Amino acid sequence: MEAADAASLAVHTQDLAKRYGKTVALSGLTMSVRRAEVFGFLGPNGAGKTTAVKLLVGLAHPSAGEAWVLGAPVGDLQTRRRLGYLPELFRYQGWMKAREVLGLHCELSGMARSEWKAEIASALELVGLSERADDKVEGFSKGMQQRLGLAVALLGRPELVLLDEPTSALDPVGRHDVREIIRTLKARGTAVFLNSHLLSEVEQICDRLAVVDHGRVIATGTMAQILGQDGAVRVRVTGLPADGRAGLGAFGSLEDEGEWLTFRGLATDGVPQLVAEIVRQGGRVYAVEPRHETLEDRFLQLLKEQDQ
Amino acid sequence: MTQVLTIARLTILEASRRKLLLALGILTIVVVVLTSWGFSRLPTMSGVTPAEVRLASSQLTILVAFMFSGVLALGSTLVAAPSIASDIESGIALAILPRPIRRSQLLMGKWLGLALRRKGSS
Repeated sequence: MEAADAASLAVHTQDLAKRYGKTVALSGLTMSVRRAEVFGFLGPNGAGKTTAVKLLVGLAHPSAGEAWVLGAPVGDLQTRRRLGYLPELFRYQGWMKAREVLGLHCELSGMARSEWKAEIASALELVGLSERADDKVEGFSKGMQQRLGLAVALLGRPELVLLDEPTSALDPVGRHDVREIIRTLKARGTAVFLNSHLLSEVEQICDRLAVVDHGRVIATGTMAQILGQDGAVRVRVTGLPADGRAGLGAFGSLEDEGEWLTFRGLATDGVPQLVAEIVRQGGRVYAVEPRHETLEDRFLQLLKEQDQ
Repeated sequence: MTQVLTIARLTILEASRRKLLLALGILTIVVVVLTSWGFSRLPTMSGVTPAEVRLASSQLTILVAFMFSGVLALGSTLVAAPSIASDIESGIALAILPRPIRRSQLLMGKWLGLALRRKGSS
């Protein structure tokens, strides 16, 4: 991809790889994140999610491949002003007040001093820390530190916010708040790169997602594309002879649950043909419905396919 | 340059509130008090002439000056050495480095801050 094309995207990577000595953390990551979308980056522990984020914010240098963030090659110093980043494991100077931590980050990001106050106030308000702004960070609970981390990531109205496991330390209320914050960001036109292994969370807020395993993307697309890729249907049928059932396997992989039969991997016009075949064999069809898989089912299935 | 100054200021503030620095300060005061007490005792010792006292105190002064500079150097090393390593270990560096700051600027800022802080304590 040319740099000009990459400019219209929030993130674009091409065969991005990172090795630490002999350990391959990321092997050939290719993906695109559009502007103003919430992009979920899913994968089991050790899949290379955090490594990918670190490469994107310039904390580590790629061993191979290329990547652009907001139209500039990764690591570009000026582009970092337009980025917000919440690390997975981080700490702020415990002896500072929350407000001072935010001030420090305003200063480091080169924001005009006159804007600090309003910027800090709005970030604190958004994460719900306004009342604790003048308390020292060392007295904060893990959840409050996480909120502070989010506030830091939101400073200066970044065009892209990368959140690495933002809700791992939060209680259900906190998780809900984070989802609301992400929705607010999206409404503002900010792209959000959400790194998570909490499937329900991703399912609820992401526009598009990529599933990674062993350092590479194994599936990418909208939620519907990922979930519905294999065209699974459930059919409720009675009166079908046992040998007929086995013959239906030709349409797609068959899961026999007694009355309910689940077919995976049907061709586009496979459903009417399937029903016709069942009827021809003397089966009585009561229901045919697309099978709505949860992201969790799909995720586990993708990982299993990958291993085979 | 502003980035370097920001880090330097942060480093000074941070170093100033280390407990290690407080301990070093207290120990320094104890040593200064004991040394001056020792010097004040010199003329009162029996069997020494004033000339001998002058000779002994001049040599002791040189010795003590060397000792103080040694302690100061050791103290600064103890305060400065873990400065960057502890930031990396605790995750503070993770929060700061993604900002538009070069690693060299961070290093310069740390150095400048610690150098100024050491000047202050000496």
